[in-house]
Amino acid sequence: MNALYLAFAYLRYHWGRSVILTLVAALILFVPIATQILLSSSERALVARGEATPLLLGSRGSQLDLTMAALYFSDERPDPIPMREVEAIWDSGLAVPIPVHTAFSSAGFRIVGTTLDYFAFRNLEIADGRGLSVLGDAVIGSGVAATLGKGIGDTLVSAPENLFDLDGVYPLEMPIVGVLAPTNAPDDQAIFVDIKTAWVIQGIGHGHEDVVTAAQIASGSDTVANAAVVQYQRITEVNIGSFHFHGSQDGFPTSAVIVVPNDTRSATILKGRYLDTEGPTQIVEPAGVIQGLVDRIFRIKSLLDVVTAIIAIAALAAIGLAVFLSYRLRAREIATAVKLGARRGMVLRLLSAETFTLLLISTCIAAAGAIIVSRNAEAWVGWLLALGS
Amino acid sequence: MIAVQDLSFRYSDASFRLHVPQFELQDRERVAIVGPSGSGKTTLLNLIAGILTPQAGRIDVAGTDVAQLSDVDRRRFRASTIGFVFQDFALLDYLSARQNILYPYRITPALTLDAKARARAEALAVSCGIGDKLDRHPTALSQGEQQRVAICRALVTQPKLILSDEATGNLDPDSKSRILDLLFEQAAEAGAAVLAVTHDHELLPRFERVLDFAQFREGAEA
Repeated sequence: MNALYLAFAYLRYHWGRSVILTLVAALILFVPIATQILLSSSERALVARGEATPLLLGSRGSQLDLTMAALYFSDERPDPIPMREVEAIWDSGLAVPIPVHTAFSSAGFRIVGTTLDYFAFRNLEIADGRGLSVLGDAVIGSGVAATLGKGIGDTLVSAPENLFDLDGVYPLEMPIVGVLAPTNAPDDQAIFVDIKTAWVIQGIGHGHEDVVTAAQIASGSDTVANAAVVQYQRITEVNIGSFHFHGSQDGFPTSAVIVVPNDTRSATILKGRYLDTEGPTQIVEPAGVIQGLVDRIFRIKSLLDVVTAIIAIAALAAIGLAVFLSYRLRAREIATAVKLGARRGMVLRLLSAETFTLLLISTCIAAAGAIIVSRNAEAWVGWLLALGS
Repeated sequence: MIAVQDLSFRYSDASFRLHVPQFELQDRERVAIVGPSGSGKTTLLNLIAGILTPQAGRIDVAGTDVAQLSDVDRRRFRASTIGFVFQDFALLDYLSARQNILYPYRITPALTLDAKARARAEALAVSCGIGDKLDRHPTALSQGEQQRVAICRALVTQPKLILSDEATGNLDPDSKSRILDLLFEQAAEAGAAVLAVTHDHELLPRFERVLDFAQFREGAEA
């Protein structure tokens, strides 16, 4: 106890040095543990999302880009495929197709145009408000609500894709009608709208004032349509009737289609139908694509482990040197203790008590940090995976 | 208190040799040791304290032949029988004056830190005029105050012998006299003998006896 008392008194008096040594030692312990926890959580989250998505249909090209866009709503933009591909899957009776349109964003968050099947498929629950029911409605993820401080009754405006493209994407104001319960998945960081709303943002569907009014028809006067016709940028109860789409829906775009086969046999048949490498579409198994990505990440992690080990060794050597120099500086104290009759091993006991105290505090700090990381790993990983979307 | 007979000592890596045919210190006696630097004054204190062991001869302190004790017993004997006062005070900067005084109790199982020891430390500090400064660290004390703390530390274990190695060497002339008076007062109250190495010849009249050490040294400078 006396050795611990003296050790604590020494560390307290030289608190600056003690704090630095403690924090450095705590960091050396904490960083590899936190990295391991986050990487393991990332792996679990990535693989879980991949495994929860049986098949993915999209344009032929990078399978990773397609998967990242459809599952994690990333910045990648695979070439769109026409909605007739969705209809083809419906018609096959082998699976339920869920289109995912991820071309647009609002306030930095991805707008995901989809159908109500998506909410059931991902087991998304409405924490506040209601689900999508009217053209223009938006349901936001819990992360979006928290970050933007928005909720039911607020609105979101889609970001125009090209300011100078007069024929392109106009901003659409969307009322928030629901907020999803947190899932610690990319869905928390997304704005969900009906896919038709996404097409309105894209300019495929629109609403505007009547070109010919009832009075003009009654008077029989000639009317010519021109650019002065007001196009609506907000869908309301009053103007919703004027919104319409030009052309056949079969040709409208979607970024990808989540395919939920009825059974393994159906999945096998479907995969066989998209084997033609010359075809414009491909069907991929996200789990395999994600596993490839994870394997790559963990190859990088092994390199990171080596770097961490080297840094840890260097830092430990620096700490050892600091402790050694500190002990050298205390030679006079040690000589005094010997003269006053200190028992054999007292000096070693004293120095060990100091080192033990430092390491104990460092370990406690590192453990506290590791517990915090562990408890929040899922949320932080979900946020990290959604970065860039 | 001390009886030295035919004591011989030499450091293994030097030609310095010390030979003391005979030296005695009575109970409660105050003896000064003078002599040129390197003549072995501090070496004799270390031999009496059992920090060094002689090649030959006998060192009897309070009835115990120190040279015959094992290392563990010498340490215990030193902690319980001898009080040390150093020229540089040898206080620990990270401990308060109170904890510096009680430091011997923290480093050896030969002494037990109990309420009596704490009360004794308090009383010694009051009698040495630093009762109101016990919670200060050495850096917040003057040199004279630091040496008072060192004297309290030497006396708190109620030793029979005080070994003082140039205890006043770092003090100004006024403080020297006061500290030496204080050391003698406290030693007398505790019934301890004082063996003090000093270079300060002005202080010699205050001692009962002076031992000139030049006579004991053999060989070259240490």
